[in-house]
Amino acid sequence: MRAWLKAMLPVVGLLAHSPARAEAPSSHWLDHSALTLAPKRLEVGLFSQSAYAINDRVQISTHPLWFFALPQAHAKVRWATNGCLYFSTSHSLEYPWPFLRLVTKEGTGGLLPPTDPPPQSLLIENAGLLSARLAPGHWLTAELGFSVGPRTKTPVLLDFPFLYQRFAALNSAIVPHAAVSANGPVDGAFDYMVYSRYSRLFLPDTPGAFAWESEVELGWSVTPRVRVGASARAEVARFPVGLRWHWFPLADVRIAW
Amino acid sequence: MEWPLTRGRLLALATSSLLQPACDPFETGFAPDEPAEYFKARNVEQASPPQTLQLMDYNVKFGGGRIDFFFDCHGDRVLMSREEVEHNMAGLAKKIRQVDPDVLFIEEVDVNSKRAAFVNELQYLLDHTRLNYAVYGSQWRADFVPSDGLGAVDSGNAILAKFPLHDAHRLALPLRTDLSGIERYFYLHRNLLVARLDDAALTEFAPGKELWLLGTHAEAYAKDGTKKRHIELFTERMKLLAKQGIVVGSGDMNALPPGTLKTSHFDDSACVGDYEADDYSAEGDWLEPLYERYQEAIPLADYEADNAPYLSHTTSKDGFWNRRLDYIFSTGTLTEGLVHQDKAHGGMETMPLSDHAPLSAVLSSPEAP
Repeated sequence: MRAWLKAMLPVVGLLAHSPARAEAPSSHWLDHSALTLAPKRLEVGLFSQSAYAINDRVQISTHPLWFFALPQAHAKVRWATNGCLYFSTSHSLEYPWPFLRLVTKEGTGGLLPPTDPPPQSLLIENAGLLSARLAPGHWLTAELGFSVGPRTKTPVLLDFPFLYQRFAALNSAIVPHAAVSANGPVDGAFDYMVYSRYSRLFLPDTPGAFAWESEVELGWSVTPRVRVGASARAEVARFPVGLRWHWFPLADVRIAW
Repeated sequence: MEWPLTRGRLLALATSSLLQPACDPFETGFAPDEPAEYFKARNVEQASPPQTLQLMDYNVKFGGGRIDFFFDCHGDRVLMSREEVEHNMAGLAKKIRQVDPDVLFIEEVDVNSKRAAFVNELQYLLDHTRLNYAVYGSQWRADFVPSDGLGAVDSGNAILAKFPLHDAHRLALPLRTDLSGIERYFYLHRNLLVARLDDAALTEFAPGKELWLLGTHAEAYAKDGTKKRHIELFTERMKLLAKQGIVVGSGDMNALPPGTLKTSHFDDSACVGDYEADDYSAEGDWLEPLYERYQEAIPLADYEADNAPYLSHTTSKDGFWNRRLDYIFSTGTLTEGLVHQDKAHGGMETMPLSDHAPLSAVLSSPEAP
């Protein structure tokens, strides 16, 4: 952890002391980037996270639809920018017990066996994000981070597609990840987002376990405050059962205030 | 015929590969007729061609031994640890080594299931017995079964032999119709598993002939006639294969022989509803076409004279075998049929190993005296 911070310090230093440092433009609809929303802007998503910018540096978010099953809070803090490069860190805290309890059951919907009640646990994720402006409105972001899952005991592995990598920290010491994303306008009211994230899962009974999840989204800003998105999310992962891939389509509506 | 990969065909291939996971996202489906999977022992032990073939059939209950699982209704267990599976498999392998079959039919063997700690039980049996080759037909496969915490499952039936197996196919049996679409999607997809034994095994036993092997595990719980249909299709396939050579058809039929005295209200029945399989009273003649046409490991007259020594199944570890579900039929001559119920009948206790007792018989060529 200390080594990781040490590695990031030159980047932060470079940005913080850049002569081009200026008031940063804030993002709209920009997921997976180091940019934060404009101060006091609120974006509410139907299936995606809803975010609010406390000021021009700090943005908080949660998932309203999932909140009662999976209580969670996320924060993104922008540490430095020169207008072309942004460096932020993101931090999230989730309490997975209610969700795990929900899927630990007999019969249909039982993703985990009822004989093994889920332990009390937390999921904590921290990441550093570095965004670079490639052209006006087009951003490329690199992300490095890790998740840990302090728990009272190790639960049965939740190896359901797409949930696998999200809960794997409860079954290993640490789940490091690296991600890249790109966002930008396409034409007029349309924009794109491409995101790809690789997570290494150190699971004791599954050597070489990993999950590589990617998403491509096309957004349409119906009005400056309403955006409709259509995306496809896919993953290739090494599960205990072997290498598998899955995908599903997704639609989302987001409204901003 | 050449099938060049034009741009259109590449697009079609890419589209179908993208759509396949969307139509069958958990990969539970099978083609009506598809090649079976082949397995081989880590160390192949050369066998000499036998004069007769020692046959064995064993439902190994996915290496679950006598753990009380939720579907038995005697307990609530869903998953096993690797240590439990390996301990149970060691017992099964010991019994198989004791019988030392030339050909073994097994049912309920898990090759990649969460409930069996992802132990490849078929490979385990090949590596811990004198059997060298196997073919496998999955009857329950899903990347994830979202019920009871089962997770990933790949379980099926297999044919193991000391000699190589060829021309192995998995033929799909009809699915239950008394389930909802989503239940049927994740439920068992039973099969007929066909293979031909290598000619080298027959040089002493039946030179110049072919020996075809047919394995199955018929439906257990359906109330819609699916089980009867599975038995009928097994019988029809026996007839077809008999035109090509000697046939051995074996498996867990989930049906009682004609002449069974007790056909319902078994004292080990604990399930009510989905997993209830306690009343065979309307199925008395379902196996008659097989008995009429083929020899069975246990002659029907012997069974009718006394059912007790031939019973091969009970769900309760605290009881004793109370019904016969497992069979070996053949166009050849079967002798020395034995249900390995315990030390007195088979030389080793089998009750702790599975919820089925193994069955064995010796096959002679049809022309043999």
